[in-house]
Amino acid sequence: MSETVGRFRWEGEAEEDVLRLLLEHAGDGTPVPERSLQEGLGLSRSGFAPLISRLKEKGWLRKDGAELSLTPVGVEVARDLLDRHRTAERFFNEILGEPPSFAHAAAERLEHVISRRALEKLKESLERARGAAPLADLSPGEGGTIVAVKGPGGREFSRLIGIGISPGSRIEVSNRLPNGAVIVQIDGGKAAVAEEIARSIFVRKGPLDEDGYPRRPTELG
Amino acid sequence: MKTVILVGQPNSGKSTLFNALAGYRAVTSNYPGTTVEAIEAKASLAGERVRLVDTPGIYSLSDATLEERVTKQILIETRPDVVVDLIDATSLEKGLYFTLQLMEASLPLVVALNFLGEAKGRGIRVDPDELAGLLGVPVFPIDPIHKVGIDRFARGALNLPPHRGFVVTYDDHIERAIEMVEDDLPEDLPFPKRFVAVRILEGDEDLRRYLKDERTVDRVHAAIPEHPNLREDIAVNRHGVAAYIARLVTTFTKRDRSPGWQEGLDRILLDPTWGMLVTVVFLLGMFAGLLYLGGFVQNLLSSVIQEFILPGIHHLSIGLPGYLGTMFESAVAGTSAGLAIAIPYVFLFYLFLGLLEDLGVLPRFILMLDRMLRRINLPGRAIIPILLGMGCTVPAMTSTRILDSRADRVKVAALLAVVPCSSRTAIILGVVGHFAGVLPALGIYMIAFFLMVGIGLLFKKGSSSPSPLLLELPPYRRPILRGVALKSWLRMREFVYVVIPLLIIGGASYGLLKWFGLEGVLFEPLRFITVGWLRLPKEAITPLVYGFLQKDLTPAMLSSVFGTTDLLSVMTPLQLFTFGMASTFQVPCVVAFGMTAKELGWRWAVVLTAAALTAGIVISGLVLRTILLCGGGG
Repeated sequence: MSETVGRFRWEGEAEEDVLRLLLEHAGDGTPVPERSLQEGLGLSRSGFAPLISRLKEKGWLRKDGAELSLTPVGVEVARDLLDRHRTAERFFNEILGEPPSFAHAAAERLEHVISRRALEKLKESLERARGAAPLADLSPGEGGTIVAVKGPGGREFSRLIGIGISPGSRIEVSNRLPNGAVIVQIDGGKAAVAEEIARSIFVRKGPLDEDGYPRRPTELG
Repeated sequence: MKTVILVGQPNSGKSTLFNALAGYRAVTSNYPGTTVEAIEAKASLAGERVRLVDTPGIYSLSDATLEERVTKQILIETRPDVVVDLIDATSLEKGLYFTLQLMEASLPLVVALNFLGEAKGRGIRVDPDELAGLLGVPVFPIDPIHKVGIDRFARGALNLPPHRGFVVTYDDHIERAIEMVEDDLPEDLPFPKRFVAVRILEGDEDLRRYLKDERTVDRVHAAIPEHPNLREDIAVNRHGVAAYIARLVTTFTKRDRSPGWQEGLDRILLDPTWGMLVTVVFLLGMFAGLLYLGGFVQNLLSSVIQEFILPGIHHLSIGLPGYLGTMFESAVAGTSAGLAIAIPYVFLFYLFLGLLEDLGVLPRFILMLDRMLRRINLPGRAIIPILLGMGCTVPAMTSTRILDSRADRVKVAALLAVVPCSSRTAIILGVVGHFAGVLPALGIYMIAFFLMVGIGLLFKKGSSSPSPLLLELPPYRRPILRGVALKSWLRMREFVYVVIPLLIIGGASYGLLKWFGLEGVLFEPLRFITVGWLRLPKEAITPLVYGFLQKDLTPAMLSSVFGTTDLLSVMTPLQLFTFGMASTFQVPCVVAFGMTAKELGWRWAVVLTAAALTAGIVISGLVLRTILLCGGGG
């Protein structure tokens, strides 16, 4: 059964919206009163109830009396959704120059249908548009400031940061090997980085500061 | 006695500082369940006797490597009075990242700033006093190579003022996450609550057990949607602070930041063609050096044994009752023959490896070999167990833990069966090379190489693609020979302690067999292998069987069964070559077998050992027949 709230929606979308709202307002697992959620979604009672029971069936939602909370699986789904929403919103706003209200509305729809792969592409083009390029695309002699490190998680990431590859650091390509590996200058030292890792390191090209160091906005905490 | 622990990143000059403090005296201690070594010594710091512990070089206290876990364990268990954090001034940012982590742990910290001179040469000036002011812990500039600033540093380290060092503040959301975890931690922890909380959020498996409720981490992640990658964001935050501090205390005096000769050398060593050429030439040169230098020392030791030890022992054993005398004589003969062959090659191998490491060229070689290894679907990191395997298979087997996937570990374990360890090098060079000539010895290496490629391709299917290359290339530095020699000795000592008892037991048991006239008991039943398939004298089965216990027994037993050290008088060069192959292409010894079982389970250990043993014998016979068919041999 689909609801019409100003525009056409399909069932799955409404379900996902419930999750995202719950995450935004009560992500730590504290329960939210059913009524406030219903109002937040702008749904009628008859549209809201079956939605909630479907979510419960899927194991994404828990209901205690009149209060609702997310299950761990629900949190996963909702977080993924939040990521999609934010990326889509930024894309419309920052790249296409649409006003935030439009960007938000467009992201509301896009977040439900965009594939993982498309999402990664969107993120990549976001970085590019901000003047950043993957390290793997830089030629020997080129350099800049790292703006984002994507892709590797956990172990791989600790290794990267261990040798000084972290957002905000200055990096320079000194040469490349035939297998695509990049040899870089980083924090006074050198390192060899495989092409696939170099693809996930985004660098904003640019010359050095007057003192030979990248600008960094951080304040001491 | 106070305990002083040395920590720092790889190539920060830790061992040099350690040796400058301890005066080139050290013992190694293995930490439980690992072969990662912590080096220890009693040292005199500013006139006070202290227990000095050197930890493995690590980049940070994350969970990524075994070394990091061991260092964390040492820091927890020894409850040190002083922790010395050594930082390389040429890459301050990286060093400070680790320092900030140590400061979160509220350890009694003192920072030693190394390579200030080198930094100055590159146009980087670092102000130690300003750094001390920002961090809130004492900072001492030192130069352990020229022994400058050591006394001041030692006095400062032993009289640490009580301080509350600087602690990183993360962004609001992360701070909220830290608070949530802190709330779920008990009061009695080995580290400050905040440190444990941060480490848990960074995915620390060891500290996670302190949580009262395992689900807390999931709850926190759900509560902080702003940071879907909390773990990475914490690291990025901390790195940002490190970089900021580094920037505040650094001034750049000139643009050109690295000395010309370093760059020049890298233009050659990092060049795809030239680098590969240099790598191959260097490794070949290393083995040529082993062959000639090792052979020289072997000759020297052998003649000492022949001239002095054996006659003396024979004299002594006359006084003993029959079977004891034979046992004693065989034990000493076996031990000295084994050592005469093992020591020169094993020690020299570690000496060369240590030199390559300290010169800073080893990572360049690894980078070049990485491309080759990836052809057989192994990560460049696999070169470490393989190189270690050229020293000794036992630590090499343990070091396969640096590989992420089990498939890769099994593959490397299989490779290690044909990578000649230094004990097998002793057979190849000391028996085959010494008596049959350089070409047959090189031939065995070539066959070993082809077998490695073969095994790699055989296992290629079914193994996942290896984790991508990420390798630091440290600056070239002049090695300190005394330090390299000490390191080689420490690495070799473990080996000697395992080998000597085995040599004594092996020799004595052979003496016993001889006394009962049983030394020939295997000659006839296994004749089909020795005489039939390998065309060797039937007596050769004894050294082959003993070789399974320990490869260093092989040359020793070879001399024992034939009653001579001049092997050419009992075997032809072709027989020596065949013998060399048959004893080389095997799981090297019972200790390595045990280690394989420990690392990969008994099933794999038995399968790999049996396969290697059979394949080794079969291949040796096949190679022999090929040579005979081609009309070779003599």
